[in-house]
Amino acid sequence: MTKYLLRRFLLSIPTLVGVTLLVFLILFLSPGDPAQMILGPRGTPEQVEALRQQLGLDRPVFEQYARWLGGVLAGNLGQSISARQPASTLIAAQMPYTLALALGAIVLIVVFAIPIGVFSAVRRNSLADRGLSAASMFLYSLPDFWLAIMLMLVFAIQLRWLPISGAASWQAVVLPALALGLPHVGTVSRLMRAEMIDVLGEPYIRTAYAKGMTQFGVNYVHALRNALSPIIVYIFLTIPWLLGGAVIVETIFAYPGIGRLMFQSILSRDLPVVQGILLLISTSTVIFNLLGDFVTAQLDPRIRY
Amino acid sequence: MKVTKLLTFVFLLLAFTVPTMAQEPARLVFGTTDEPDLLDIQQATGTNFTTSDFLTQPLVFYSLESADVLVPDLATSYSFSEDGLKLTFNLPAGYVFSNGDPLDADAVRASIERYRTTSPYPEDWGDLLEMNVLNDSTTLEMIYEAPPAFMSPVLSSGFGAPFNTGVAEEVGNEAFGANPVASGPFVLESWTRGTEMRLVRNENYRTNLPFVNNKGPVLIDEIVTRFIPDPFTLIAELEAGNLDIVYGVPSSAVASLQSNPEIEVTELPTAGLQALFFNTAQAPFNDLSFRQALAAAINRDVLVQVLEGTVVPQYAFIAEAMVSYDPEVYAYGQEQLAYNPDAARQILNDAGYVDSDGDGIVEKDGSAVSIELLIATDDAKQMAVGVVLQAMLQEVGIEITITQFEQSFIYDRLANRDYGLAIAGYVWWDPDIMLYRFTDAGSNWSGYDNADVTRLLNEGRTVVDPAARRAIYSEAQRLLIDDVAAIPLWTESTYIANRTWVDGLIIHPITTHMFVNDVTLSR
Repeated sequence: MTKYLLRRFLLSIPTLVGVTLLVFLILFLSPGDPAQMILGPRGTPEQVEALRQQLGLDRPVFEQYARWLGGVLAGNLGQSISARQPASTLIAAQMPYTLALALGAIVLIVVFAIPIGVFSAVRRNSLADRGLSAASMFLYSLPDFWLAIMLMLVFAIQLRWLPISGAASWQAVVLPALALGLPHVGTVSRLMRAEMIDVLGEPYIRTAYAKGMTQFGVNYVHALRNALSPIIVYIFLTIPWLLGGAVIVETIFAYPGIGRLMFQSILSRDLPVVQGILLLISTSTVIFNLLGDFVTAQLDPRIRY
Repeated sequence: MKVTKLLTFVFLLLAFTVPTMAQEPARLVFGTTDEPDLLDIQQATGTNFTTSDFLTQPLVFYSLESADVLVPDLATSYSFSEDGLKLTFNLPAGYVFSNGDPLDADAVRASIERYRTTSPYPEDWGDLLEMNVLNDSTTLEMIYEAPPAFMSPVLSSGFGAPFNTGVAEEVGNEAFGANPVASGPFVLESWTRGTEMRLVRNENYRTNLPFVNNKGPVLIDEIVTRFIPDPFTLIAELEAGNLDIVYGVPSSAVASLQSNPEIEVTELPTAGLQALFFNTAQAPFNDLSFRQALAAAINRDVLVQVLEGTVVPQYAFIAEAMVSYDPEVYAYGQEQLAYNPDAARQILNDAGYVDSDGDGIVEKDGSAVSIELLIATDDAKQMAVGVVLQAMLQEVGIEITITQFEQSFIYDRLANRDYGLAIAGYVWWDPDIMLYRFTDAGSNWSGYDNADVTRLLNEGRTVVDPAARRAIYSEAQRLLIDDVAAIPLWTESTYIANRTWVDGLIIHPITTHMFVNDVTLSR
C-alpha cells in the first residue's frame, strides 16, 4: 500500500507541472498587459515598459515559467506583483481561514448528509424518505450566492444570532460554512442513499439477517461500512474544491480565504500568487485523492493495491 | 457595621467596574469595499488610498472652499517665490514621526528623494533641480526648472506626505510596504489581509489645518477598517450598526440609506469626469463632422436618469471640484455639445453619411460604418448606460456593437489605441491631467493632436497665479470642445454614509478625505 501511494504521488508530479504550465499559458495569453493593468490609466508607455522589465514580463513566456518553476523547487513561490510580499506569505496568511471554513463544511456534510442518506435508504419510499429526498434536491439546486444571502438575512440580520460578516470570532465561520456545505449535504445524502440501497440488496445482507443480526447491526455495521467507500472518495475530493472554490461565499461574508485571494490575484494578473494557489490546490487534490484511496482500502479489506 | 460592609461592597464594585468601563477604547469602525495592496504610497501603483490616508500627513491640504487655495497641514506655512521657481515649506520645530524619530526638513527631503527613486511616478515632483535645508532644518526650499503649478494634488495627499526613510532602509521596502512609518493621525497596529486593519492613535500627531478644532492627537483611540467586498453585506453591516462610516456607498443603496434617520449620507461630486473617448486616428472618428454628430446624438439627461441621479451631466473637461474650474466653459460646452438629434442627422448627411439602403443606418461611400463600443463589466454605470448609448446613436443612424471587458483591460486597449469607442475618464484635482490625456506626454487615448492645445496644457502647468492659470485652461477646454476631442458625459459622485452617533466628522468637499480630528462617538 505504502509503495502504491508513493508511486501514485511520484506519478502525479508531471500532472502538477502540467497544470501550472497550462494555467501560466492561459494567463499569459489572456487579454491585457499586467504592467499596464497594474499602473492603470496613470501609467505612461515609458512607465509601463519599465515595469514590464522590472517584473521580467518582457522575457519569453517559457523563460518566465522556467524561472518560476526553478523558484518553486528552491522553495520560493515568487513575489506578489501587487502586494510586493512573498506569495507564500500571502497564501499562508489566508490558509487558517480557508481550513476553518473547509473543516466546518466537511463536518456539516459528515454529520448531516450520511445519517440522512442512511435513514432515507432504510425507510425507502416512506413519507420521511420522500420529504428528505425533496429537501436534498432543494439544497443541491440552490445557488450558493442566494443561499448565502438568505442565511445572512435570516440568522444575522433578522435574528441577530450570528455575525453578518468578517472573521473576528468562531461564530463568523458558521454562516459561510453552512452556505458552502449545505449544497454538498444535498449531494452526499442522495449519493449515500443510492449506495445504501444498492448494498441493502446484496445477498450478504440477507445472510446477516438469517444469522439473527438486528436491523441496526445490519444497517450500521455491514451495509454502511460497505456503502461508505464512494462517499469517502467524494468527500476527500471535495476538500481541494473547498480550498479554492469558495470565492462567492467568501466575498459575500467578507470572509478571508484562498478563494478570494485567487480571484483578486487573477483580476490584477498577479501571476506568482495565482500560480502558488493553483499549485497548492493541485497538490492537495493529488494528496486527498490518495488519502481517499487509503481510507477506502482500510474500510474495505477486499480492495488491494 | 452593616453600613460599613455595604459601603465597602459599593466601593469595591466601583473600583472594579469604573476602570473597566474607562478602558473600553473609543473605536471608530470604518467599512469599505476595497482593500489596499500595500500602505506605502511611495511604492504603490493602485488608486485605493482611503485607509493609508489615516496614516499619512501631507505638508499642505486644499482649503474647504476652493481647490485653488492650499492651507498648512504638517507645514506651518508655504510660499512660492515671485518667479514660481522656488517652493518653500516651513516646518514645526521638534516635530516627530509616529515612532518618535525627528521629522524635520532633512527627513522631508529624504522622503521626496525616496519617492523619486522608488515610485513608478517620479514625475509627480516635476522638474526638481535641488532641495535646500535651512534654518536649523525647519525650512525646505525646493528649486525648480519650471514653476510646478501642477503639484497641488501631490502636495495635499499621501503622495506628498513624508515617510520615515530611515525605517524604510532598516526594514526594507517589503516590510515597509505593509507597515510604513509616517506622521498621520494613526499608526498601524495590525493588518489581517482580507478582513480588517486596526489603526491606533498616533500620540505624536499635530496639525496646522485651519478647519479642524483639535490640532493635537485625535480624540478617538482607534479605527478599525473592515474590508467588505460585497456591497449588500457592507450596507447590511452599516444598517445593523456594526459600522460607523462607509466610504463609497454603492449608488443603488443611497436612496434607502437616505431614508434612515440614524444614517447621514454625504454626496460629493468627484474631481473628474467620464467621457466618450474615440480613436481619432481611425475612421470615422478622424472626421470632425462625425464626432460632432456623435456629440449631438447624446442626451445626458437620459443618462443621468438611467443612473438614478447619482451623476451630474458634464459638458467640459474640468469638473467643478478641480483646480481651474470655469462655469463659463461649462456653459459653452452645454451649447456646443447640446443634444440635438435633428442636427446630428443633418451633420451626418452633409458629411456624406447617408442611409442608402433604407435600413435606418448610415453608410459612407456605400460601406457600412462599423463601430465597437467597449464597456467595462466591472463598472456598474457603464453596464447600465451601454445599451442606452447604443439606442441614442441608432436614433440618428449610427450603429454600434457593444463589447464587454474588464476596466483594466479597456485601459490597456485605450493606451494602445486599439479601440473605436470607449467610456473612460480621469479623476485628479489638477487640470494637468489633461496633458496626459490629450497630448503625447501621456497615454493620449484619442490620439488627439492640436498644437495649440499642447502649448496651452504645457503652459498651464507652469503658471502659479490661479486666475491666469484658469484662463489658460479655459482656452484649452474651448479648443477641446470645438474639436470634440472626446465627449464629456458625466461626473460621478462619491457617497459617504455615517451613523448619526459619529460627531465632528469633516468630509473634505474636494478630495472626499475624511478628517476625524474632532470626531467623538455618542453611541
